[in-house]
Amino acid sequence: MGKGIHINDDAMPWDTRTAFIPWTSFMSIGNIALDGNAANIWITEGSGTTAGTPLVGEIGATSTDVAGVEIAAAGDLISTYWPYPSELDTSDPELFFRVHFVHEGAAADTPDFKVHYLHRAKQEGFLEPVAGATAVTSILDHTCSTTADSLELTAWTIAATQPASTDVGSLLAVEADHLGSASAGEIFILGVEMRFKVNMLTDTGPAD
Amino acid sequence: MGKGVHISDDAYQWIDQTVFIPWTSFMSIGNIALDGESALIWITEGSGTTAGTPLVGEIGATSTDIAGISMAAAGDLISTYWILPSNMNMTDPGVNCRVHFVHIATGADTPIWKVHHLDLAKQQAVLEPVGDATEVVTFGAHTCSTTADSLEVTAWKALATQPASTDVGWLLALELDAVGSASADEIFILGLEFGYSTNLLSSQGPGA
Repeated sequence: MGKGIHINDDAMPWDTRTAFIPWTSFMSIGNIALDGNAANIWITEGSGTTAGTPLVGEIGATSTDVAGVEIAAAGDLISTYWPYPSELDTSDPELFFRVHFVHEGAAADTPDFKVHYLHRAKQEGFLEPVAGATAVTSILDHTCSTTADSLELTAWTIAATQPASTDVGSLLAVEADHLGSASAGEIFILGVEMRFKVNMLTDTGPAD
Repeated sequence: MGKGVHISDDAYQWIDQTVFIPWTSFMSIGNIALDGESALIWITEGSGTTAGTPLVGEIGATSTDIAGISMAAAGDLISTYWILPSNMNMTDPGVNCRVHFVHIATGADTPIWKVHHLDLAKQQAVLEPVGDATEVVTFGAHTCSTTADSLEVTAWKALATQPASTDVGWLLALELDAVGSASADEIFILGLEFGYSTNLLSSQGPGA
């Protein structure tokens, strides 16, 4: 190191970063089924290679031309793999989750979501993220707006276990655990968002 | 410029940033075909608008509810377009890449991957990224774990040629060049990750 100014992370109150995974990037999207005249994409959901639920559908009591993952019943879920970004500070990650969704109904429904996740190091087993030995973060009793087709974001909820420096990513599942009086097809998942602390100068990131 | 302190990128030693392209974001996914009793999504593979291989399938000797690109044979590949991030330091991009995949078998197989890339400026011709004048990164043989369904991440490998300041994006193809004793459909692509050096204060990003 020369005589120039050396600025380290301790001197910088970095803002937390966020990463959003839209439903279109979830890797549990594998099967399709013909539904009448329309070819709809189905999501595998604990049923192996057979077509499952939930279904992808257009969002909105009023047409929006935007599709989401339509929750038909409690327990519907989607799954994926998420590699950790290099700037994630694994010495103090403070990883949080929240769910973005649309609520079509006009009642103050109170759905619960669960985020199942399994931190993974290189060459560890790639498991089904709900049935495997996972941590679960419950996001409870989100009170929806009584305005139909409202954009809903849950509260930020901290991950029960945090990633370690040996991890490279996680397996994730977002589950509608309880509909909270919502009817079938009134909740559409848009995606899941993560928030985490960063270091930009010191390499305290995930495993290289 | 006022009298305040002016701090440039030179005062910082930024860590490399990363970006992950999941298989769900690859643009060669375009065709569908019904395969017997299962309805599966197929991938075009250098064959224009006709259905090709490889296939999307559920990952795992044991069910995981997560799908990937199932490699049927050496030469299987997927392709896409990706824009260069605005914080890439175009004076010294230092771009590396690595492959995330799952190996569902228990042999110490040694697959070899290739990344074909074609740097693109505005209004440059868009070409098929394997058959046309592209650069190729060939990875060394990656020794897989003998634990079934292991998460595998290759070593980082530098691009043979780095993007120039006039470039705005890449055409990319990720190819399984040799199966390394793996049988058909024992390797599933999760996605492709890039690491690159950054400037966060100066405007030295890719082509405006």
